[in-house]
This record gives sequence, C-alpha cells and structure tokens, in this order.
Amino acid sequence: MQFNSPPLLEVKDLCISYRKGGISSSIKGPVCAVKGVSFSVKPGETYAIVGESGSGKTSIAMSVIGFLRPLTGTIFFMNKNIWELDRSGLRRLRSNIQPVFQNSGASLNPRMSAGKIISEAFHAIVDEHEKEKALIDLLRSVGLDREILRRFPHELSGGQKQRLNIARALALKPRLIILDEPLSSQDLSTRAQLIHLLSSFKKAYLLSYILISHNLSLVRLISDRIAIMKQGVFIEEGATEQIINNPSNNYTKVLIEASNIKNVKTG
Amino acid sequence: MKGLINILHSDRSLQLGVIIISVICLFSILGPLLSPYHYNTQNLSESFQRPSWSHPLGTDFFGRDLLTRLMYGGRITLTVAFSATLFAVIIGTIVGLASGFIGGWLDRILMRLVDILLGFPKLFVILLLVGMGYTSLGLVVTFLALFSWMEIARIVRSDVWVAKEQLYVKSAEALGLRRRRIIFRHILPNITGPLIVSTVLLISSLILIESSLSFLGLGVQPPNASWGTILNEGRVDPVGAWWISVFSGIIIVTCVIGFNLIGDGLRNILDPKTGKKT
Repeated sequence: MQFNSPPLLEVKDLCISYRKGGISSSIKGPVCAVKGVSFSVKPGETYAIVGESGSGKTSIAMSVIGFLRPLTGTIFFMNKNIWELDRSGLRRLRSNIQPVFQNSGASLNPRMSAGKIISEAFHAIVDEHEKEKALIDLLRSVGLDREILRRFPHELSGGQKQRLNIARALALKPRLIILDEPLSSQDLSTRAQLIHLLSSFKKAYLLSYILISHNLSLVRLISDRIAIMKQGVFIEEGATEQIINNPSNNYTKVLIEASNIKNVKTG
Repeated sequence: MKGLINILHSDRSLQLGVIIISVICLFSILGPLLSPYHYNTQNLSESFQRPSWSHPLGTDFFGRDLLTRLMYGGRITLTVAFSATLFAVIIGTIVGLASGFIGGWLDRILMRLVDILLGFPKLFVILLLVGMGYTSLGLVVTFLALFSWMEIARIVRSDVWVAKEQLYVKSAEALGLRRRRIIFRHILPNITGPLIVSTVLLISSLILIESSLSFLGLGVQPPNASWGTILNEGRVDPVGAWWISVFSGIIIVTCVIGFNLIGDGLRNILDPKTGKKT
C-alpha cells in the first residue's frame, strides 16, 4: 500500500436518496439511504465497508461506479469528479473502476458463452491473435480452464462464475475493484481460493479494493481499513486491527461479538 | 435442430399449432403449383359446382376451383399478415428500446403517443383510410403495421426497463461498452421471449383484420383472392353454395387457432412463471 501517495478515491459528504411515493405508498418524498459519508481509498489499499443489510453499503458502491447519482456530495476518482464528467468521459473512467457483485450468476449474460463474456472486456484490442493471448493469460491467472470458454453461465459452478466475474473485472487492468459481498454465496473452500486470488492480484497489480461485506472475519483477513455503517452513516472508521481489538461504538462491539472473530487467528 | 425438436416436444399446443400452420403454409405455397386449375380462369359452364372429385371443395359463381383459390388466397392473406407484422415488430421494437433504455422525456412522449394510438379503434380507422380510396396491397400492409406496433412497443419497453437494471447489464456498462452494443448484445437477446409470443399473436389478429377488410371489399381487390374476398363471394348464395363460405371460414378460423396455439405454447415455454421450462 502507498500510504504517502494521494488518494485514488475521495468521497466527501455523500448523500444518496431514493424517491418514494405514489398512491399506495405511505412514505412520501425522498428516502435517504446514505447520509453525509466521507472516506478515501489509497492506491493498493483495501477499504472495507461493513454493516447490516439496508445500511446503504451497496448504494455507496453504485454511486462510486457511476450508476447512482448522489443527492449531494462529491466523488473524486483519479482527481476527477465522476459526477461532473460527460457520458463519454464517465465511460472512459469506468474502465478503471470495476465491480464484482454478490450474485455471480446474475452478473453474467445468460445468452452469452463464457468466451464471449470475457472477450467483450477486450473490446479495445483489435488484433484477434493478441486478444486470444490476453484472454488465455487472464483465464490462467484466475485458475480457469480454457475449456469453459464454450460454456454458458448456467453450465458453470458458483466458484467458476465468480472467477469469471473477477477475470472480467481484471481484464481492463483497473485501479479500483468494488467487491460487493463477493464471497457470500460461495462455499467455504471456494471462499478460501477466491480470497487467495484477490490478495495475490492486489499485490501483483497494486490494486485497490472497496470490500462491501457483513462478514467481519473475511474483512479482517484482507482489508487494511474498516468503516462500520449503520442506517446510512459511518459510525466508526479506522485501521482493521484497531477497530476489531478496540471498538469504541457499541454497535461495532455487537458485530464483533456476533461474528466471534477475536478468537480467530488472522492469516 | 435438436434443440428445436426438444422445444416442440415440450408443449402440446405448440406442437399442434406448428403442425396446423406448417400444413397451411405448404398448402398455400405449393398448392397453386400442383393444382391443374388456375385461380382466376373462369369457366361459367361449371358455375356453383358442389364438392366433387374434380373440384374437392366445389366451384364459385365463375366456375373457378375453390380449393385452388383458397390456396392462392392463403398466399396473399399470409403475405399481408406476415409483412404487416414484420413492420409492426420493427417499429414497436425500436420505439420500445428507445423508450425503455433512454427513458426521461423521450419515454414520456413515446408512451403518450402509444396511448393515443391505442385509443383509436384500429379496424375503423383502417376502414376509413381504405374507404377514402387507399386500397393497394402495399397501403393495406402499411396501415395494418402503423396501427399494430403499439402493443409490441409497450411490451419491449417494460422488458427493457427490467433488463437494464440487471447486474449483467451493469457489468457491461462498467466495461465501458457503447450503448448500441449494450442494447443489441445484452438487452435485446434477453427480451426475445415475450417479443416472439406477441409477434405470433399479432400475426393471428392481423389475419382476422385483413380478412375483415377483404370481406367488406376494402382489402385485396378482385381478381386477386384472399380468404376474406372468397368469404365475401359466398354471400351471393350462402345456402345454395354453402361450401364457399364454409370452407373459406374454416381455413381462416383454423389458421388463427394455429397461430394462437403457437403463441400459447411459446408463452408456456418461455415464461418461467408457468413452471414448465425456463
């Protein structure tokens, strides 16, 4: 991690709201999902956002990728305010921020073979031979066999689907990957393999991760800093070990006790 | 090919519908080539002959063989229905895609246009236009298409609305793919199911409208024959020469039922909520 370098991502006073209402709804006006959240991510850092369902974690992720316009606040990525860019500017910048979603199956087009899904990520490479080589190298790096290229998403296992998603995210050599509960729907052995994979890529490509999770044991294994989120606000933020060993907020204490991670050895 | 056979085996109504429509299409395409009679050559000495070995479905007032005319009429009716459906689907899909994907003011304008056009009684507006003298086959196809694309547009629009929020579309957007590629590679292929079903059902409704127009003398003009014009020719003597109205009526109804069965069958297969096959 480059502690002294300027932040790769800087989020300031982010407020995200969803408009509710309509004849049948009892709630009128906007509903604030995220209220005044600020944080920054340095190159090579893994920043985890932990909180219960509905706390606003995914809303932050969607806003950082450029899918959900915030009500107020700024998001600077590589020194550019992403919500002030025009469509083509945002499209160019997006190749540096890639998402990996929790639902590995839903993230893959069911009508496309694995080969087509991955080769789409190489759309900028014109030369077919070069594209093929890049594709094979990428597959090898995520531990997938060349043989899966002909298969469709429904013919792949959960682990293979998530590896494919990670491969697609890595194809464009991004600076930041947003991992939205990437291992929640995976079995234990697949989780361990994917954690190893993500850690190795972080070192190899100096990648930054934003890890969104409710699983503190996973977060402790791979993140450098943690933010604890509840009802749209960050209630505690700091270095991973500091938060886990000396939590100052009662909610954080409850989370740590519930996940029983103090007894788990870190790897 | 194997996949196609499996799909056919998975639903009875689809099987039956495909058999009916295949027979009618073969009957219309190959029939006139095999028939010893010409669809329009008059032979007044054989006027109003009952069904017999030489004329299996009888003859009309001008002594023309009814079976040959029905086979030939099938070509016209199906061509009109297929081409009008094709144009309607193209217009409806483009409008639905634009409205659903771009959204905002464009969506509001296009959907209000759809509401307005759906408010017109389709058959009466077409009757009015045709009654004003615009009676060529091309114009009939154009009018049918112009008043039939709205349902398709609505279906496409609502499916695009759902599809564009799917994670695989979001992932494609994150890759920096262009809008056109996202629409044609990621959204369109995933909404084809409901589109195919409504297309098939539209064909059957356009067959009925074309037949109604021709029956009223406003569609296909003599000496050309469509099933509607033949049905109309039976009005001369509906009791004495019953075979004209009965056989032309039967073929229209059978064809419409055939397309409806295919539509229902496809809906059963493509709609996961029916629990048959996704």
